[in-house]
Amino acid sequence: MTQAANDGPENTLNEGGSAGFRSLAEAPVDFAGIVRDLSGDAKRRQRLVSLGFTPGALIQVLRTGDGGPMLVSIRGSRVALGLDEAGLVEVGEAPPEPSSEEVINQKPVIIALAGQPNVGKSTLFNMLTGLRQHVGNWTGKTVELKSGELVFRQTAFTLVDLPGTYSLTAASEEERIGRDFILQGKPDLVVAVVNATNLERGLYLVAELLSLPPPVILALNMMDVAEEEGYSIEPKVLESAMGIPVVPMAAAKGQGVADLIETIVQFRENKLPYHPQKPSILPAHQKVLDEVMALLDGLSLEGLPLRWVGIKLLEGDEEITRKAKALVRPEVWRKVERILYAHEDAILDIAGARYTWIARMLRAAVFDPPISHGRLTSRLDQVLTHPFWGTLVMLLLLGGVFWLTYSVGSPLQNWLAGLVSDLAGALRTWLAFAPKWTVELVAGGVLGGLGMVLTFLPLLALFYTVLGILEDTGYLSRIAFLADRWMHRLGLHGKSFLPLLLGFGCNVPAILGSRIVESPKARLLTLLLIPLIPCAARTAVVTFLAPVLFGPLAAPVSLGLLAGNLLLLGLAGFVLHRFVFHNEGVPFIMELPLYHVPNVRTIALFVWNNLVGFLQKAGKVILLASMVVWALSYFPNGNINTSYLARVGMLLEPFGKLLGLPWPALVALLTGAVAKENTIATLGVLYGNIGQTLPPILGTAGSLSMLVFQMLFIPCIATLAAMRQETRSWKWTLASAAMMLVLSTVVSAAVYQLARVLLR
Amino acid sequence: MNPSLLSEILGLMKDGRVYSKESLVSALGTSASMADMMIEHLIRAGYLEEIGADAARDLCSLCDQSRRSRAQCTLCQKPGRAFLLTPKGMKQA
Repeated sequence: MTQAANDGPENTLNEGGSAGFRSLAEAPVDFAGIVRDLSGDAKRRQRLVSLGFTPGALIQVLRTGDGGPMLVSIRGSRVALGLDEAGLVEVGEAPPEPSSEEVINQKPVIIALAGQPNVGKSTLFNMLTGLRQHVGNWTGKTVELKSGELVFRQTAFTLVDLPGTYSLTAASEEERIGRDFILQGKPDLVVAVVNATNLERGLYLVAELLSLPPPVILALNMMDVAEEEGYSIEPKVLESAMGIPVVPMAAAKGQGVADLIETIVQFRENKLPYHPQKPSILPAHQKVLDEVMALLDGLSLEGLPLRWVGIKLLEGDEEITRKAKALVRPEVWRKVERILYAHEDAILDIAGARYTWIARMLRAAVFDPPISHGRLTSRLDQVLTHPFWGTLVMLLLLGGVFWLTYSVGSPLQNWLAGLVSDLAGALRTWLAFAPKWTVELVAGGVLGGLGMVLTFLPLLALFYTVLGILEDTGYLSRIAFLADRWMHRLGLHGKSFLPLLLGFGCNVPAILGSRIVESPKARLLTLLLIPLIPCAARTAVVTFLAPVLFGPLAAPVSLGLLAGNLLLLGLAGFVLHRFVFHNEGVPFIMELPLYHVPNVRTIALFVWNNLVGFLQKAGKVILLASMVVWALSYFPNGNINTSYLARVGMLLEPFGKLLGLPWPALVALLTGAVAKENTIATLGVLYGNIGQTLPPILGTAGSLSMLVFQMLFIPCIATLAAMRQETRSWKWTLASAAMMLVLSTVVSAAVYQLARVLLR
Repeated sequence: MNPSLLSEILGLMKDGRVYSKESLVSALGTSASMADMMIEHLIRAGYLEEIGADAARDLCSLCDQSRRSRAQCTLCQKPGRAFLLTPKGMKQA
């Protein structure tokens, strides 16, 4: 070995040319040396690399620039280079030429480059081998692998670029190729390239590589990106924790490449310690592994290490299992199989040990990772999905939504209601010449009903805006999530979560969506609970009626109603689960959307679409219902108290007394079965300007009872039709409607009676 | 010796102590990336089952808001993945 070969990289590479220059642009004609490093931006460095300017490459200056491009010889090619570009190439003195015997007689050191896709493995490979690359077959294999040559300090290296792979479980062709090469190509060394910004992913592969015979060096690539993103990684600490050499680098910038080569050389010269800390197996499964290895003793499976074969069998690796089965005597294999079946869970410990090992390495070497978008979401969710704090924040936020809606929207709504009332009065005067029923149809039916509903628009616009903001930030799914925590405890199947979530928007798609729940019992339970989810229409009606009936107390009342509704949902789930379905809940984990700044256009479209939808409904269903209700309340003699509607309404009076509701209010609630907004229209037809007329008639207890009844009353007809379609059973459809009717009656009556006692 | 992280996930789920991936990360004291890897591993081993993002998209197509609007809700835009314990996972946990 020559003196140069024994010198460290500082002596041969890092001191620059002895002639007193460092840059290729300054090098004289006939200068012969090596490329030490590259500078400049990534694009220019990439271009230089593609021309063969990689660290360690021999270079000779054929012609200097003298104002024009300079001509150099590198990797057997003549390359013309502008002075600007030449200035980016740092050069140094070439090591003394080894004697030809030294290299020729030396068997090349085979180095496998392993790593996941997109970790910069190919960039590193190109930098190390430049143009000396070829594609070929390896012994016993038909697959082609890219390899390249590198000669450094009299040592010839053959680098093999393995396909990008996440693990060595042979789950894909790439993984199988990579694994086969490491096990059967018998490389002298494996360089595991990992992305420093996603260390845990890369370390899984390293954990697997460490259980194989070839020694491993860790190339910690993309350190520059990791630093930019705020990761603080200590390569030396990681090296101590892992017990293998770790080289920090930024291959795309050419940084650390020379260090990697130097580390490889020093490692080959036994100058570096190597005591790999491998993932351990739990004692219980170590014993099982020993049993399997004892049974397989003497097995020669393509030269694979026996312990590794045993581990893969316990992990259920299909390829290894198939190969081992073919080689082992049937009676022995039956014994092996019995052990494997009895210890099916071994995979959890074996693979789990790798994750535990990764976690240990990360704890040792990664400090204060940055608060990324995902991490910020994670931190926020620690509070926002917490059973207590999350619920508290949810209540505060919803309370805020109602407060904002009412404090800004109610004055506008009151003004519009007054306007509609005045307009109705004016119409009665202007149309005095027309038949009375026509005047009343327009003034009382259309304006009183539809007009009253339209005064609702400012409130709705505000409500949907705030809801849209909460929705677009990703918060609304947390509310559903909080509700589901409790539902889940009540035996709901995990898949029920999605339809229940949809139910907050509209119960109809939620019911249709319940078909994703395969278990018939779990599905039926989901279907029965969906009508208890406060849909947007029901919430919107409460948003309208609460300020009308409770004035400044509207926000806490609305919030209380919503919370009470969710509580009842939980109770109903508990009862149905406990006494009817006896379901076993299937635990689940879900990924919640990341929080983000709301988009104005998205919210505007959300509000616009909802308002248009509401207006379309108002122009059809609500207008028609208003006219029908008006006709029934006007005919036969123009007096509401003796109208057809009154005759039906009177029948409901005993029921109404229980709830503290007069028959017109009950009729209004009944019309909500067609569409929830009809309740408001009917109240408008029967009571006129309800802001002035309704509160004194109902009183506080009656008002509370009305709102509770409205929240829990039977679902709208569309929901019931969807229910019939999905259950294909009238029995369950009617059972659902009956359940809601009973619940709404019992709870409203209880609220009314309690409120009367408390408010007396 | 403590159970492995994979067994710990199954145990946490069975006991109802984790519901979201975020709470899982917090309970295990790991990173989101680690949680992803372990969940994928458990799916491959048959202990967890994923409710496909397709299911969420199908549900979104049933929603009036989604049908009418070019501005879909956050769930429709980025349907979160959900993972269930399989019978094998339930038995193991």
